[in-house]
Amino acid sequence: MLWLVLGCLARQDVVKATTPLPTVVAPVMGYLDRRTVEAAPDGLIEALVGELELRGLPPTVVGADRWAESFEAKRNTTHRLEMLGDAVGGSNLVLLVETHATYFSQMNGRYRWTVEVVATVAPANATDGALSSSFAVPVFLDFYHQRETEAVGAAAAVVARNVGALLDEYLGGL
Amino acid sequence: MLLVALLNQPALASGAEIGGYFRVMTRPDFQGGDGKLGYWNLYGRLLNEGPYATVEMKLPILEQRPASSEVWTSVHMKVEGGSVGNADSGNGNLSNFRMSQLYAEAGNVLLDRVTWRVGSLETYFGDLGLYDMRPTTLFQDTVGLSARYRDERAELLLGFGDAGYALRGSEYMTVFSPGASARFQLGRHVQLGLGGQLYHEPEVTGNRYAPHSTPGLDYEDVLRGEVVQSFLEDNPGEAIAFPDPEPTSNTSYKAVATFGFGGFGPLVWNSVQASYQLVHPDNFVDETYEGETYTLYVTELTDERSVLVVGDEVQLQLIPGRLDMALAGLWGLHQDGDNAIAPSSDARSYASAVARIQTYLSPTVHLLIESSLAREISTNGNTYRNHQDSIFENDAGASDPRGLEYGDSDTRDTWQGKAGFVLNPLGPGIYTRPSLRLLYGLQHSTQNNAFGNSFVEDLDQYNEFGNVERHWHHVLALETEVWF
Repeated sequence: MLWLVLGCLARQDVVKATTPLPTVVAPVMGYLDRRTVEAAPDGLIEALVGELELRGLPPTVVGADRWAESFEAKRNTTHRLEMLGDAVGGSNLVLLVETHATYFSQMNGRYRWTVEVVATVAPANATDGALSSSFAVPVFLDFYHQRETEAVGAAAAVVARNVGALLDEYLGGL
Repeated sequence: MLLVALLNQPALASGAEIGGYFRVMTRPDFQGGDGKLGYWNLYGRLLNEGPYATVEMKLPILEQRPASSEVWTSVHMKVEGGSVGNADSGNGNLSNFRMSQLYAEAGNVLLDRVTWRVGSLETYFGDLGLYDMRPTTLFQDTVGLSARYRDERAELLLGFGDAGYALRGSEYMTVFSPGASARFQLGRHVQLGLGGQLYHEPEVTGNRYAPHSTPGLDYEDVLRGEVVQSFLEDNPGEAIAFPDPEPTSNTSYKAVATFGFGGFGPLVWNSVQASYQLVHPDNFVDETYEGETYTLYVTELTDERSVLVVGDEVQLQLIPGRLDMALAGLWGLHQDGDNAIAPSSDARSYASAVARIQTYLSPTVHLLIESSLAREISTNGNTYRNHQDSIFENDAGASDPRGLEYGDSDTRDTWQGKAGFVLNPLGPGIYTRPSLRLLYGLQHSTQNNAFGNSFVEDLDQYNEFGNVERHWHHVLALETEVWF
């Protein structure tokens, strides 16, 4: 019964925007061993969209075709934010979520990875008002063939939760 | 060259990263057991394992930076053990823990995509999660150097080192151990892996811990501890003529293979894992007769032991987000060409199947049901006590004070059923952790009192305490398991 009660507990209230603030989202996944930059897995994108909608921030996900090539050269978060702000008009906010997965070791039959995340929210036209959060999420994958994409996907729930906290912090300060 | 390359790189500031695993539980047992449902993981790991904790530290000394081809290096240290305060008889004492691994890795040195490792070399192709077994483990006992090449389609590993301390402990003798493995990813849906490890313990005259063989040993005499007695009965007063050991060398090996496929329909992945090992021979045993201790070198009596293990585990997503299933099977054959007379763990076979379903009442509250069926057979006669008075029986079911058998059956059949609620804060998934579980387990075994216990083991204890017929065993478990 205790388990049932705990499992059904409603989540805490979030901070909502007083008026809808259209937000562009760029979920980015990079690699340690190559310059390739691509879109984060769908699971993470869906989780991020959910967090934005919950807070009254109508999201628009920017496809990797708009930034992938540019981001391979631009490795700095500020530069990437500026590029996104220039590229997308009509939005109030930019949410940039940069991820990369690092293999840790084999542990008790699983493959332990660490997903490093830098999440940044900023006004679309002023990166100096950006608020950023860096964190690492440990994930355990069952199989050898599961690599970076699966690792970032497996971290989706925790990443979205932390990004949600960042958005709450940002909206609370508006 | 490796060292020079490392020293020529600027140091980067970075913090240590901690990963690990633990499980802790309480399983009050009103039938007098020690908190485990059955004897071992053959019946599924769930409710058959005790507490365990692992902590691994990774310290990046030269951090691997995204999209960089600079040299990187990190140090790993792993400490693990099977005891937690108030949860088992070890009471969390640190003597139950050991530093099981310590190694340094470096990449982007000399060869592209190659990771060099010096230190502990343990590696494996995968895991049979329902059994918590890894038949394809290589280099578990070896400290040395390895080079691992990895790209999107293949992983190749070459290594060598010394397994002497793992195999011989304080009676150390070098056991040179080279090995290799190769794993290929054939598209997204198929994977194949092969590997092997060789052990060679050289002949060294004059080193009493080096492999030797005492001539003329009889297996039964060694088993009974009567080698010297028999010799002196045949050669009265000739103790000085007891044969000296002759130096020899030992070679053994392990071969492993894996085949996996999946990623279509409800099949998440199916993994077959197999290993065949020629077990490394023992070196010596001591025997005391009339106050004199003799060392008997038993290489020739222990060099025909082999272990073949084949396991398979399949993970199925039957109703996405609602119902998952895992099925596993395991078959093992342990053979001992030197021993045809006495039951032992080196002369047996076993087979089992385990099925687990997990249904998601909500994203965090799950219902778990598992069942297993197993048969274990002793190749060399009786080894299980099926009844409360089996203590009177051994050879051929009759009492024989000189008998080498034990109990009244050569077969043990075991069924287990387990069910309960699971709280997974991180959501659905049979192997999603952390897990907090409230479980009930039920076992039926053909063996009497087939669980870890302090029931009577000999006639004196039987006369004092008596015994009861008990084939059903229940436990209620409150436990948690975490990877972090």
